[in-house]
Amino acid sequence: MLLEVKDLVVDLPTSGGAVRIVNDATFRLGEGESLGVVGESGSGKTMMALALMGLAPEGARIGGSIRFEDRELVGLSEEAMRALRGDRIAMIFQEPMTALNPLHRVGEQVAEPLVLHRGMSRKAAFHEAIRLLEHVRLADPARAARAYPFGLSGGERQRAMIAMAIGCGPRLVIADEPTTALDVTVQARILALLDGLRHESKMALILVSHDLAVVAAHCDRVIVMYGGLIMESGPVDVVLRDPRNPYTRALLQARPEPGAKRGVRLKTIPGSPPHHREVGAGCPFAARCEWTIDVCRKARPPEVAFGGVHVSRCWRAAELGPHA
Amino acid sequence: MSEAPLLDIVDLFKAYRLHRPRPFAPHRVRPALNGVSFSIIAGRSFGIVGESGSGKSTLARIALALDKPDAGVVRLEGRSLFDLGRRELRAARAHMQLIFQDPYGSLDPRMRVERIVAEPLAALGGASRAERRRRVADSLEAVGLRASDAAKYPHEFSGGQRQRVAIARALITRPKLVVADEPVSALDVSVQAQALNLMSDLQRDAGVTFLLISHDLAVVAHICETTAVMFRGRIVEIGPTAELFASPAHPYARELVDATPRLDRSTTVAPPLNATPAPASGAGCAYAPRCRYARPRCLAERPELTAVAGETRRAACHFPLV
Amino acid sequence: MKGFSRKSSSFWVGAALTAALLAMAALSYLWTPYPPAAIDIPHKLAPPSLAHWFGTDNLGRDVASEIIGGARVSILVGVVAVGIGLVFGLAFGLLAAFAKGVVEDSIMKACDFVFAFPALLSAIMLTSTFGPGVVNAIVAIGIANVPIIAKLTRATANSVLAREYALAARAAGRGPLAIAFDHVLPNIAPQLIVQATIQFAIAILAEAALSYLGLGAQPPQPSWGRMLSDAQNVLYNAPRLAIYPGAAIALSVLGLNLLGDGLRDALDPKLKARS
Repeated sequence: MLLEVKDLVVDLPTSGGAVRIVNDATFRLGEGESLGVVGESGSGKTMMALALMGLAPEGARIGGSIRFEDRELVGLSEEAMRALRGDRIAMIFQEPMTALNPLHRVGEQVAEPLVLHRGMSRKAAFHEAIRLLEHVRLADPARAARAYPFGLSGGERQRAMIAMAIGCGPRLVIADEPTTALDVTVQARILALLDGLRHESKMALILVSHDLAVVAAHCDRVIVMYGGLIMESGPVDVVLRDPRNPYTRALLQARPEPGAKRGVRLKTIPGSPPHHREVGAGCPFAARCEWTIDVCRKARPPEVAFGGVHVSRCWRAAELGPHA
Repeated sequence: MSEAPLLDIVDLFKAYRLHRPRPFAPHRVRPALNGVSFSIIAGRSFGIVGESGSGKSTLARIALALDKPDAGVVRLEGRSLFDLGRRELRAARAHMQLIFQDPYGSLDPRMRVERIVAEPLAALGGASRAERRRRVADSLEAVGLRASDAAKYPHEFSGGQRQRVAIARALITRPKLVVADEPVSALDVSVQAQALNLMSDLQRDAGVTFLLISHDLAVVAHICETTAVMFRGRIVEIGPTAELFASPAHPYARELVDATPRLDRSTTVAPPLNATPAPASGAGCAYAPRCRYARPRCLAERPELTAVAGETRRAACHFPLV
Repeated sequence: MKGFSRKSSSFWVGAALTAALLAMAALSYLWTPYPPAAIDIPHKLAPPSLAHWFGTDNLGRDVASEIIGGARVSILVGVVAVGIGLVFGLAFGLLAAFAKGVVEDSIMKACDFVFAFPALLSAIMLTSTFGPGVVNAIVAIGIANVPIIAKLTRATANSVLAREYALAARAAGRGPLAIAFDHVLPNIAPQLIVQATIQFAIAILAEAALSYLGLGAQPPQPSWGRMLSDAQNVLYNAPRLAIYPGAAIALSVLGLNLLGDGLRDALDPKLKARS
């Protein structure tokens, strides 16, 4: 197992006391597998991704276990973490314009992990950077390397960030909404690129997104988060074909589809996603769920397994079969 | 049936002047609209789909007379907007309102909801305070909020609720046309559905016609009967929404439809891996460098909108796919 | 403005000092230990005592009364000069932000032009041309304030006009004046208030400098700057006569600056926290 996360908890201090952002997250990821993390605002998905890299904000308390390549990451010294970042685990962020330093040339930034982790000279690393930019299918990679971030388009910047991330051949890449800020045709190309890179080098991918359909098309497995809790997880086609959690179902029904009949009312979820401090002892979705019963409000739902790998956190998961 | 169109856009051109590369050199121009024409019939909502650089936001602003085109005409119910005097234009604005993408930026954080929603009435003048308060309450209730919400400030609401406030503001003058520029893009999926249902209901019950601008095909398909696809300042395909998305005629429309992630259909087409090439400048079709069906004629001669597959659809392509 | 929940210590200290300054100025209208201009040569250069809390100066005038009286001039100059700066600065700044194009460029170039002259130098030129006195000092300092406020107004107004709610107001049919009053001014007020407190402090300093040079408030009107100038002659005998007005000026300027800092902390992050 490349990555084993068990009971991961992330608490953030606020003026009103500590707030739990990620609540007992448990999942595994093998070599070369891709995992989609789906959630809306307040789901905790971004904080979980940051916690995996040890990039949770100052003052955050991390509990539980993150085992990467048989090494425990929780509690690891910052120095040791820094050696891992960019080398064995890399991250791609949502906004390439802000994730790239506007004052440095793109090629220099792509070269940076190579200088840091492979000990290459700046010149050699820059040449390697041009090769990497070509590998991510940028037209005229030499020009792109010499350019500054504002001289590239959004899609090109994102490709540059991907080049920066894969430079040292990481075993795990975490992509936090990598295409949300991009046009849909550019998104398709970038996701295809990521798929291609993955198959080439057998690197594992964690793709964080609010878009179920993106995850459906590019990931082997999916976890659905809400209010800090993993509500459902499993192989992507199983979860989407036969969801066993009311939240997953509601998400699927609320999505407009291009092929659907015009004007048909979408099934909505009343209310809106909760703030972390509002999540109480029971199920975070209880207030908006149409399957809620008394126990849902009082106690956190247990994990119910279906066929081994498909897990749902719901008191009534068994009732949510395909005919429900 | 010959109805005067609600909104008639004819041959719009607009280019933005950028700074000069050197002193005394001519200004660089960035073309935004390159000859756009279409009509919207009352009761039949119209969608515009495009990506960045397509000119769709510029189009929205010019359609509402918030920006002047370099050439072209915009007619609301037969009257040319840019020929109207200031007072007449202000009165005409009662019939056309706007909803923005960003529910956080489109409401003044220092104003209470009542003043925000009543603002279009303030521009028209004439309504008494009691009358204003009543209309604000009606508007808020029509969008699913409570009349008591009028006393609150924007920061007390969630994103989805703020968008409802923006919709309430757009409706208060009972406009015939509402231009919605990416109205749901900034909302969570579970909240988007609420806003879309609201817009459908308003279409049906309040007789509002939407000009919906979005990059998201699914959103447009949900509300609009007719859709135009824009690329680099021109309309490349226009026709009934369902047909357009089911079998697009223009290769760019095809690329858009294929690229949109869908749950109801597994992706059959593998998207290209390479970065988007820079668009062609000068003669020829702007999409040609990126088009997998391009032939020499495409680079030499710019295609115009011509009928394809029946009378209701048109595409600007020498070799349409339908 | 919703609740001031966390005010920094700067705010409180600054507010206290500024309040003391205002109180002194108000008090000067009602009562001072002695008439500030009353000359009493036999008791000149007296050290602090119960009769004269700060002692007397080289002409026997009661220093404490002069300090209290001097506060009046400082406040007057501050209020009116900043007032002039605000009125004209707002007008020019808003005009520049709304009109854009050539108008905006010309106004900003004019501001740069006025900036080019060191404020004190222009004040000296004006007062030496048109005669010394409080009124001319106020006008000179006020004129120097205008470009500062104008530039700030233009910059902040532009950022407000770029927001979508300003566009929404235009789409609703509101004219530029309505947008300026309803949307721009309330949203730029925090930065302007902070800048105004800073300009107030600068005005006090400027008035003191002018009076020191003899170009500001003229005798018999008490003025801290002139007290400093008078104290120069007897600096070896009675250095305290320079310390009292110097401290008064320093504490007033410090108080206003701290108040400005405190206000900035209290007002600006609230805006960010809201939206």
